[in-house]
Amino acid sequence: MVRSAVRRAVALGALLALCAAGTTEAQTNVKVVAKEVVDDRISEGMMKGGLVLLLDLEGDGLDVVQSARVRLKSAMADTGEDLLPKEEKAPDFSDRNVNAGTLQVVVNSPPRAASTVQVAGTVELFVPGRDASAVVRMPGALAKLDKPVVSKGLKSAKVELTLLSKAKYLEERKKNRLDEAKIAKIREEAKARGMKEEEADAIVEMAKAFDEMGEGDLPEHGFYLKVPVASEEKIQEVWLETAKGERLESGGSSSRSDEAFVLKQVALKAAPPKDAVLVARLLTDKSIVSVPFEMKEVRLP
Amino acid sequence: MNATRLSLALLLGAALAASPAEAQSKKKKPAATKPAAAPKTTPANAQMTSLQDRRSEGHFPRCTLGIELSDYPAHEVTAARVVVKKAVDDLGTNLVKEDAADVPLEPTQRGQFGKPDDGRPAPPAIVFAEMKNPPRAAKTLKEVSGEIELFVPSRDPNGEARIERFLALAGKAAAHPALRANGVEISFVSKAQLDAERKKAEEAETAKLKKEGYEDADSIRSMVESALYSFPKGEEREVILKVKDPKKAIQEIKAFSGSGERVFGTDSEESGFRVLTFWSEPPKADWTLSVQMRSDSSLVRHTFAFRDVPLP
Repeated sequence: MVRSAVRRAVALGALLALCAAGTTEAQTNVKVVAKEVVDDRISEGMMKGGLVLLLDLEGDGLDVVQSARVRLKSAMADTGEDLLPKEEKAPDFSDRNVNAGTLQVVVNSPPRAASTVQVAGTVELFVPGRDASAVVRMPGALAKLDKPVVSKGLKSAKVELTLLSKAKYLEERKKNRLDEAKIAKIREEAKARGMKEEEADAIVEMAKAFDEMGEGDLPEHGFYLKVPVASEEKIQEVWLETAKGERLESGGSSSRSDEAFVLKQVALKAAPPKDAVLVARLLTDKSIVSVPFEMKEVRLP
Repeated sequence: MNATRLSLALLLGAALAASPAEAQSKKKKPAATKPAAAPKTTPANAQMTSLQDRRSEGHFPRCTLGIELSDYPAHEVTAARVVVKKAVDDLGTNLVKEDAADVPLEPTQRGQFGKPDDGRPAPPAIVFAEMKNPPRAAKTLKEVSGEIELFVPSRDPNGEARIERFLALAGKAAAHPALRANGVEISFVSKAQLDAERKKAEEAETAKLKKEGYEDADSIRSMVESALYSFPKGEEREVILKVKDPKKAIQEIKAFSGSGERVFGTDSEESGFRVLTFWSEPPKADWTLSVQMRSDSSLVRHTFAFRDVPLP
C-alpha cells in the first residue's frame, strides 16, 4: 500500500552498461524509486530532524552491482525551500545485501505547509567486475603481521592496511578506548551544537556504554586489521580465501575507530590455513557507474 | 567496510533510538506488568523538553512529547510510563492512541547509567508521552494531558535486593529480606540442574508425540529437538534463573561488575526459565545481581498537562 503510493513519484530511468570489463556490454535500464518517506520533525534540543528518503533501485543487471550510494544535487519543497544540507559528507556505499538493497538519503526538514518535494542527483553503483584492479589479492599477508601489507594493487589504489597479531590488536584497541581527552572532545562538540551540560552528560554516558560493548572477547579464530580512515573509505570488503580461491567462512565482524584509524576484527569459523590469501575489494573510478535520477513529486507523509 | 565510529552523530542517533533504553531481542521479554495498587496522584513539576513528530506512511510513525521532571534525579527513576488521556490539536483531531491506557512501565534511558560522577548534579528525569501524528495542516497541540507513573526503587527499603557474588549460588536459592518482603523466590540454576530439566522436557515431549501416534525414532528425535529449540542452553555468557513472582513485583534484574559498573545484556524468558545473557563477557565471581521490585512506596503517580504547544 505504502510502497505503491510513494512509487507514483517519477523516477528517471537510465541506460547504462553494467557488465564486466572485457565482455560485450549490454544496455541496462536502472531507475531509482521511492520506497518510503519519513519526515522526522523535531522541535528543538539535542536532536535534529530531517526528511529521510528510502530509495530502491529497479532495472536489469543489478545483480552485478555490489553496493551503491545516492548523491543529491538538489532537494526542493513545493513551498520553495531548498532542503539540500549545506555540509554534506559523501555517504558510504551500502551493500546490496543490506536492508534489501534500500538506499537512504537525508535532507533538511521541509516546512509543515509543504506537501511534496522534488529531488535530483545521481546514484553511484559499484560494479567491481568493470575493473580488474578493484579486487586485490594479497598472498602471504598472514605471514607478515603488524606491518603495512605490501601490495602493488593497494599501492596503485593508494590504500594502506595492516594485518595485526592478536596481541597488537589488543594493544591498539586499548589505545582506542574512550579516555578523558575523547570525552572532553565529545563535550566540546556537544557544546558547539548548543546542548545543555546535562544533555552532554547523557551523551558521554552513552559513549561509555558503547565503548564497553566494543570490549568483548576476541574470537577463537579470526584476523585483525588496522586501516587509516582515508583508506577505509575505499575498501568495500575484505576477506580471507584459500590459495585456491575458496572464501573462508566468516563468523561476523566488528570495528571501532577514531579520527585516524579503523580497527576491525573478523571472526572465522575455523583457523585459516597458513597460506591463506587476504583479499580486498576496492572502490576505483572505473568500477563506479553513475546514474542520474530525478523525482518530481515525492508526496510528504 | 563500514566502521562503527564513536562519533557524536552516532551517539545522538542511538540516543533517539534508545527511548526507552531496552535492547531489542527476538526472545520473549519478561512481562512488564502494570502494578495492581493505585498510589496517590499529584500534579507533576513538569516542563516540555522536545516534541518529535515522526511522520511516515511506513515504519514507526509517532508523535512524542519529552517531559522533564525537575523534582526527580534521572538515576533514581529507573522506569516510567506515561498514559496520555487527552491529546488534541488545533484542528480538533483526537491524537490519543488506541492502546494509550496499556502503556507498560519501561526502563528509562537515563535511569540505566547509575549515579552521576565528577561531582556534577544529577540531570532531571525525562519521560515520553506518545501520541498519533497530527495532520500536516495542524499548527499546535491544543492540549496534551494524562498521568505519569514513575518507579523510584530508592523510596522503598525493600525495593531492591542486591545479591552479591551470585555465581557462587549456582544450584541454590537466593536468600534476601527484600525478596521475602515482596514474595519473590529466585533460584540460580546450575548446569547439572538445567541438563536434568532438559532431559525431563525431552522425555515429556517424546511421550506426548508417541501418544499422538508417532513411531519413527528419527522423526521423534527431530521433532523433540525442534520443540525444545528455545530451551536454555546454559551457555558461557548466560545465567539461568528460576523465578517465582506471584505479585509480579519484579521490575528489572540488572548485573554489576566487581567495581560497581553496570554490565549490560538481555533478559528473556525461555521455557519457564529467566535467562540473563551478557554482551561483553561471561559473568564473574565478584559480580552482583540487583533485583528491583515495585511496591506502593516505590511507585509515584503524577498528572501533567501542556497546552498550545507549537508543532515542529
